[in-house]
Amino acid sequence: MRDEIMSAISSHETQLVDLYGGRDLPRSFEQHDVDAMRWAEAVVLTYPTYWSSFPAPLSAWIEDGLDSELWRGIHRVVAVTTHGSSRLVNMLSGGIDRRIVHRGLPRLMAPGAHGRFITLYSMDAIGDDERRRFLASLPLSLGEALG
Amino acid sequence: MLVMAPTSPDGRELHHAQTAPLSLRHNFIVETIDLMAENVTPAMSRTERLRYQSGDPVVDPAIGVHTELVARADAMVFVFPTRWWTPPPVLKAWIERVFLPDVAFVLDDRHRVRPNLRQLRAVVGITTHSHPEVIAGGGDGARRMLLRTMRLNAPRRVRTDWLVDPDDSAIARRMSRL
Repeated sequence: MRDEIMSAISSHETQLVDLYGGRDLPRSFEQHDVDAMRWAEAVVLTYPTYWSSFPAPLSAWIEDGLDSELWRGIHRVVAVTTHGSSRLVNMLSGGIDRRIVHRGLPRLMAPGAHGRFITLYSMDAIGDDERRRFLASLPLSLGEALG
Repeated sequence: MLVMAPTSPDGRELHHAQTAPLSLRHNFIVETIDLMAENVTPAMSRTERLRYQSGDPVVDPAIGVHTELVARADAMVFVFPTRWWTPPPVLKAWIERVFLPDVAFVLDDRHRVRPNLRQLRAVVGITTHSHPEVIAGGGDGARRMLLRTMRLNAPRRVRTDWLVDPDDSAIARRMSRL
């Protein structure tokens, strides 16, 4: 997903923040993240949804940025994520990250900011074809989201 | 079992976590897990993620102990601050690492989550809100996660309760009802 997304947004100047970066344990919010957030206009988050929300290290990273008011300069947030469960289960018992991206974060971002949520459900049950189609759709959906 | 993440500087969670068992002890044996005192690693490791559905997912022995407590628990009480929309990352990480397939839930042949915590009768959250207006906008993700998403692991008739910034008498009342 990371590679497909970086390729899909390659017309923009980008910085990659990889919380695991090949290590066994993730890192936390660091000084160069402060610089990156001050430089950026948009943030694309990509992650597997765990328990209807961001994995813990990403949650921590977002919260640390909020504590330092670094989201105030961001105009777009886009989440690209996958779920094990179906769309229905997510509507009834999930969608925590979706609401944060659509309604929560934008209120703490730049005036007029919005969030977009690009997602694939039932990740384990669907076939390779459908997963490939999802990846292939990213340039268009990310283009619209970041426009 | 009572799981606490006492991360607030003013120690409110410590107070809540001391108050709740006073009323629970009439009906339950209370086992307390303090995620900060026990130095629980606040993240799933890459190794744990790769082994998640392997049938042998427990890498950290402390997590193995907690997983057994979860499997046996009649009631779970979570005590933590809600700083933005979700539980603190240390509690979220603990949930990710402890509520394992074939312990907390099972996946059926269509990859759907089916509950496996057959003992569980009650799930309760006791929390404080750092930014109530933030929750009004972006939703109470902590509540939704612990009372709805986690319900996928529990029997249908599980009771739930949620206390926000409670005083001692509210805690006493609600705990004795479990």
